[in-house]
Amino acid sequence: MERPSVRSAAVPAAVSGEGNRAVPSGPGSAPAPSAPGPAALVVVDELTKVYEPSPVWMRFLLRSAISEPVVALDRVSLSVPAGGITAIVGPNGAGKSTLFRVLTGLTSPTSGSALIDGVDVANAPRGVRAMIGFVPSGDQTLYLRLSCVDNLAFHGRLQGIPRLALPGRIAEVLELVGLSDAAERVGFALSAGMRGRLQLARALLGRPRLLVLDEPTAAIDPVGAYELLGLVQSVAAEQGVSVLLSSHRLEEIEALGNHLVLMDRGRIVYDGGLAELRRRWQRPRLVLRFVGVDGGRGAAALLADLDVELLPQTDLDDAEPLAPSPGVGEERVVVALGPSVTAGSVLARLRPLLPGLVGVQEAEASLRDVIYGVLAGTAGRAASSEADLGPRASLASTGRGDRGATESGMASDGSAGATSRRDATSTRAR
Amino acid sequence: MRSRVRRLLQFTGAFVRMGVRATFSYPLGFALFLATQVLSVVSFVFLAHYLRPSPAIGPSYLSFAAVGVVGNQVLLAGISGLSAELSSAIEQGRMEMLLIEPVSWRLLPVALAVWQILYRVGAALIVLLCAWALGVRFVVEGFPVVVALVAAGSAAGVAVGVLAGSVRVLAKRADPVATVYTLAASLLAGTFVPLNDFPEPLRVLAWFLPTTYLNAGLRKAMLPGSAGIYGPGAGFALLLLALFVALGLPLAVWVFGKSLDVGRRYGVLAGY
Repeated sequence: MERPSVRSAAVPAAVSGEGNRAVPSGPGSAPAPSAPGPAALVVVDELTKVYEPSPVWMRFLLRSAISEPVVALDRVSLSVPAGGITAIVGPNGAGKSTLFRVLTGLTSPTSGSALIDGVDVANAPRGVRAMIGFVPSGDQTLYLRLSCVDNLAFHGRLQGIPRLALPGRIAEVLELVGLSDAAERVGFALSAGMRGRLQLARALLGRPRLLVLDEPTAAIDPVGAYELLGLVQSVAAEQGVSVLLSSHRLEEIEALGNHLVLMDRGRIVYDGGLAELRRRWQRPRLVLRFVGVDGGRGAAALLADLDVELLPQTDLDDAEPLAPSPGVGEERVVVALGPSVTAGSVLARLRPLLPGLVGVQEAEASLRDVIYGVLAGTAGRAASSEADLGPRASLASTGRGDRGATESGMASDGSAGATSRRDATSTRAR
Repeated sequence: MRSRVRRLLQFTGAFVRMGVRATFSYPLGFALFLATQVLSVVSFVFLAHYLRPSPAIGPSYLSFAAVGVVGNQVLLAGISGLSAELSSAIEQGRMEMLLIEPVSWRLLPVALAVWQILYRVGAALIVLLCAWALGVRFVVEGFPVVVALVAAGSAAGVAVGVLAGSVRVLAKRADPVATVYTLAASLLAGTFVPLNDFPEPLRVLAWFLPTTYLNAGLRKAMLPGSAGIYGPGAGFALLLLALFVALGLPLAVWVFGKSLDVGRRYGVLAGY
C-alpha cells in the first residue's frame, strides 16, 4: 500500500486501513474512524514508540525499569482538529502519556511521524514546543514558594514573551482562569483546584495553538475539576485553541468530548464521536429482580444459548443508578443484551422463573462499561485472531506491556483499576 | 543576532530572578550560608598562628587559604551549584516543565548555573572582606586580572558542571563527575595545602584541574610576595582557563545534548 504523505495537514493516512487508527469491528459495525478534516492541527501518522531496556553502560547509572522491549505506541495515527477538544481515554499503560511526551518532544518516536501545524516534532522540537501549552498531571511543576505572578513571569520569560508585554499578558491569563484576586498568593496558599487553574494559565501564557492536558484533574476535587474543564471548554471555544486531553474521569470526558480517542496497550481502538461510540457499542441491559427463586443460576441456564451476558452482582455496586437497592431476600440479575437480542426474547426464555420475577428495569450502560466493552472486545480479538488484525496483531501479542486486558482500569469515579478482571468474573451465557 | 542575544539574556535572567526569589524565601538558610563563609575564614586565623610565612604559601597562611576558599567557591558555583539546581529540578518534578518550554536544551544548564555563580561570587567577596578585616592585604593593581580570572574560572566550573549534569540527567541521583572532581580538587588543587612539596606525579595530575591554575593565578594576582607559590602566573593561568573553557564548554554542552537525546530515546528524561 502506498504510504500517504504526512507533510500535509489533511491526512489521507488516517482513513487508510493500514495504520492503527480505525475502530475494530464493534457489535454490528465496521471500522469507521473519523476522517480528519482539512484543518487538522495535529497529525500523527503510524507513530510507534518502543521503549528498549537501557544498554549495559547505562545501567551503571540507573537501573533499567524494563527487561524487554515495551511497545508503548503501536503505529498510532490520529488527527486533532483545529479548535476542537479531543479526549484521549484509556487504562493505565494505554500509551496516552507516551503520546503526549512524543508530541511535546520529551520522548523521541521509534518510527512514524507527528506533525503539529505541519512541523515535525522529531525534527523541530523547539518550534513545536513554542506552539504547545502543557498542563501536566499534579502540581509539582509549580514553584509553590512563589506567587502566581512570579510563577507565570518565570515561564513567560522562558517562552520569550517581551518584557514590556509580560505583565499585561499575565494579568490577562489570570483573569481568564479566574485567579486575578489570588495573583500575589504563593502556590502553597492555593487550593488544588486553583493550582490546576494556575497551570492552565501558565499553559495559555504563550498563546499556544495546542493545549495538551495530561490528566489535569487527577489531583482535584470534582467541583474544582468541573470548573477547570469548563475553563478549558471556553478557552477552546473562544480562543480557537485545540485541546488534547487525557483523563480517567469518564464523566468529564462525557461532558467535554466531542472527539474521543480510545487507546489500549499502545493502540487506538476507537477514534470518533462519543455518540457514535455509544451507538455502536452500547448494549442495553435488563435488571431483573427475583424473589424466592434462584434467579442467577436459573437465568444462566435458560439464557445459555442467547447472545447475552450475565453481569455479576458486584457490577451493580459501583455502577450508575441501575436499579433500586434490593429488598430483603431479593436477588438482582443484570443481563447485557447482544445486538440481536430483545428484552422480550429474554423474558420469554425466563418464563419458568416468572413467578419469582418481581421487577424488570431497562438501563443504559455507563460510558465506563461502553469503553470497557470496546477494550475487552479488541483484546479478545487480538488474542484470538491474528489474521483479523493483520500485522498489528503480532505486535499486540508480543511482549508489550505487563498487563492483561482484563486488568484494564477505567473508573467513572476517577480511580484507575476499579473495574478489574470483569471478564474473569462475568458469566458468559452465550 | 541581537534578538538571539536578547533572548538569551531574557532566558538567563528568568533563572536568575527565580534563584533570587528562591534564595531569599529561606532567610535562615541564607543567613547560615553567610555565617559559614565568615567562619571558614576565621578558622584559618588560628591555624595561621602555627604556620610561618614561606615562599610556598606567600605572606601568610590566612591569605593563602582565604584566596583558596575564593577559588574553590568560584569553581564550585558551576559544579556543585548546577548539580544542586538540576537535582532539585529532577527530584521535584520541574525538569519536565523546563524541557517543554521553547528554550534551547543545551543552554538550559548554563542558564541554571548563572544564579549559583553570582551567589557564590558574592560569597567569595564576603570571604575576601573578612580576610581583609583580619589583616590580609591585597594587591589592588591586580584587580582587573582577578575579575577576568573569576569570570574564566566560573565558566570553567560551568563546563565541568554541564559535563556532570549530562551524567546527572541519566543517573538521576548519582553525580559521579562532580563528586570525583570535588574530591580531586580538594586534594590536588592546592586550595588549602601548597603543592610545592607534593610528589611530581600528583603535581602533574593537579594540572588537569582548572581549580589548580585558578587558585595559583588568583594568589599571584592578589597577594604580595606570592611568586614562590606553585603554579602558573596570573596571565598564564588566565590563558589556561580560557583554553579550558574554549574546549571544555562546547564539548560539555554537546555531551549534555547527547545525554538528553539518550534520555528521550529511553524515556528517562523527566523521571527520577
